[in-house]
Amino acid sequence: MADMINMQKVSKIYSGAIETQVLFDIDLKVEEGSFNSLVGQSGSGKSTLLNIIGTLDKATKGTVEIAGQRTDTMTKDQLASLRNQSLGFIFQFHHLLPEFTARENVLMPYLIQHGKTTSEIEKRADELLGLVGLDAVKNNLSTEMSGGQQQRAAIARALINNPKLILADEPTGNLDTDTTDSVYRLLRQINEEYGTTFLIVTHDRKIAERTDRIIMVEDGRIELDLIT
Amino acid sequence: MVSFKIALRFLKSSKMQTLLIMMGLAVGIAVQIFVGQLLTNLQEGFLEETTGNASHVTVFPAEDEIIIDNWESKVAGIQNIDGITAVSPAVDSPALIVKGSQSNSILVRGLDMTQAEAIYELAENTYEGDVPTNDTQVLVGKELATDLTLSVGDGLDIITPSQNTFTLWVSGIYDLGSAIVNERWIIVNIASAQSIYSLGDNITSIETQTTDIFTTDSTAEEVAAALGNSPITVNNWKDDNPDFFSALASQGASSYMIQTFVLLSVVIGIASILSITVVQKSRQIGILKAMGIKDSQASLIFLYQGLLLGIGGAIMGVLLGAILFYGFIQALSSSGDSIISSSFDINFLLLSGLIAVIASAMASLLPAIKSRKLDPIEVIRNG
Repeated sequence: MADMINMQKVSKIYSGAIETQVLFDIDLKVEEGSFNSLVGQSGSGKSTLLNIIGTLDKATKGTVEIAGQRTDTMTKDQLASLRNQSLGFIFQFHHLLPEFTARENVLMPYLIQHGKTTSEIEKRADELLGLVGLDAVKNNLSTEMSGGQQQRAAIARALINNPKLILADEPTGNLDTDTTDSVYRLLRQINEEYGTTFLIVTHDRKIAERTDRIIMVEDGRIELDLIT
Repeated sequence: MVSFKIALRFLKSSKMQTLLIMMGLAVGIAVQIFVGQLLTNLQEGFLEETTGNASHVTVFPAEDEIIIDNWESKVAGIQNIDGITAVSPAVDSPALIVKGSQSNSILVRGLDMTQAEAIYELAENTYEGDVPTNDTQVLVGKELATDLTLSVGDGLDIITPSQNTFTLWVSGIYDLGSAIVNERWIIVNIASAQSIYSLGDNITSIETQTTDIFTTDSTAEEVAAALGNSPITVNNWKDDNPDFFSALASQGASSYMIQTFVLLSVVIGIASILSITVVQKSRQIGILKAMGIKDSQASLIFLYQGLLLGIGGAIMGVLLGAILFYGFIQALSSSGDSIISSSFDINFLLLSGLIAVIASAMASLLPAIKSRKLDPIEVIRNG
C-alpha cells in the first residue's frame, strides 16, 4: 500500500519571547486506507502534529508529503486547494458555520471548489446526512442542533469532497458515551466503505484501542507505535 | 461565487446590524443629496433671477463714439458665435419725465420687440396691457407706474437732453423683477428711439444672452474678435459683477466641502464597522480557510459585503434624499414664493448613488486585507 502520510525529521519550534520546541525529528508514515489513532497527554504535541499534517500549521524543519505531494514547499493557495480536495477535517468543536444550515455546511467544501452546487452533489449531501442520521434536521441552522448532531454534520462535511485523508481532532471529546460510540462506528464504516484514511487524535482509550494502529506522542516524540 | 453567497448570508444572518449600517450610509447619502441639490437649485434659481432678464455680453460704441453703425452686419456676425443664444440691438438714452411738479430721471430703451423678447420676455413680463406696437407707444415699469399713477392708455411727456419734448402713450406695464429697472426703464420701439434722438439708422448697443453666464468673459473676447476693427467695446456680466461671481464660487465650494465631508464620515463609519465584522466573523473565516477557501476568496467576502451594503444604502439614501428635498421645497413654496425649483438632476442622484457604492466598496478594502492575514490555526486551536 502507498503512503498517505510521509513525514521525515519534522520539528516544530514556536519562536517568541521564549522558544518552545514541541516536535523533535518526527518520522511518520501512514498507509493509505488505514484507520489510525494519535494519543498522548495534553501538550504532548499531538495536535500540532495533526495540524502540520493538515497543512494548517507549518513544520520548522523536515519534509511532509501528503498523498505523494510535498506540502512544506507549497504556496498558500496550493495548500488551500489541497485542504479542499484531499483532506477532511473533523474538529473537537465541530466548527460549523452558524449562519448556514446543516446541509449548506456539508455542501460548503464543494461550493468553495466549484462556486455552485449541482443536483448530483446535493443528492450526495443528502445521502451523507442520511448516513450520519441527520435527515430530520438537515435544514436546521447549525445552532439549532444538539452537540452530537453538530459533530455528525461536521463528519458529513468532511466527506463531501471524497477526501483521501480525514484528520479528526478529539471528534468525540465533547460527546456522551452513546454518541461517542455511534460517531466511532460511523467513522469506521466510512473507512471501510470508501477506503478513506483516518488519523484520529483522541484522549479516549476505548476509541484508540479500536483503531488499527495507535501512535503515542510524548514530549514531542513518538514514544510508541503499536499495530493492534 | 462562493464568496458572494457567504457575504450575502453573513449580511442576512445579522439583519439588524446590516440594516443599521445601510441606514447610516443612507442618511449620509440623503444629506449629501439634499445639500447638493438644494445648493445647485438655489444657485440656478438665483442666477436665473439675476441674469435671466439681463444682457450677458453687451457691445457698446468705443469710448469716443456715440453710436454703432452698420449694426445689422454686426448682429449677424455675433449671432454665429458659439454659446450666444440671443442678440438684440438697442438704442438707449436718458430723459426726464415731468408730471405736475414731479420729475423722474429715466432711461429710454428702444428695443426690437421681436429680438428683445429672447432676453427680456416682455410679452410674459408685461402684466397689464401689451408691448408697444407702434412708434408712439411706451411700456413702463411697475414702480414707475405706481409712482406716477400711470395706467394703460395714459399719455406721458418725456424731455430729452436736447430739450425736445415728446408725448408717448402707455401701452402696457411690465415687471422685470428689479425695482431699479422697473423705476428707470421705459421701453419703446427701436425706430421710435432712433427718431426721438435723431440717430438715423444707428444704435447705441447690442445686447446678447449666452448659454453659460460663467464663461461670459471668454464669450466677450470672441465677440470682440468677431467684430474686428469696428470702434466698439465689449462688456460682460461676469467682469461687471465680480463680487457676485466670487460669492457663487464660494457657495459652490462650500457645497462640495460639505458633501465631501459627509461622504468621508460615512466611509470611515462603514470601514470601522466592517473592520469589526472581520473580528466578529474571524471564527467563520478560519473555518472556511481550513476547508480550503483561498485568501483572495476570503477577501472577496468582505468586498462583496461592502458592495452590497453600498448598493442597499445608496438606494435607500437616494430615495430618502429625494423625499427630503422634495418635501423641503414643497414646505418652502407653500409659505411663499421660492426661487428654488424642485427639479432633480437625475445624473446627480445617480452619481451620488454610484459614489456611495464605490466608497462603500473602498471602505471594505481594509477589512478585506485584514481577513487575508487571518490564520485558520488560531481559530482551530482556540476553539
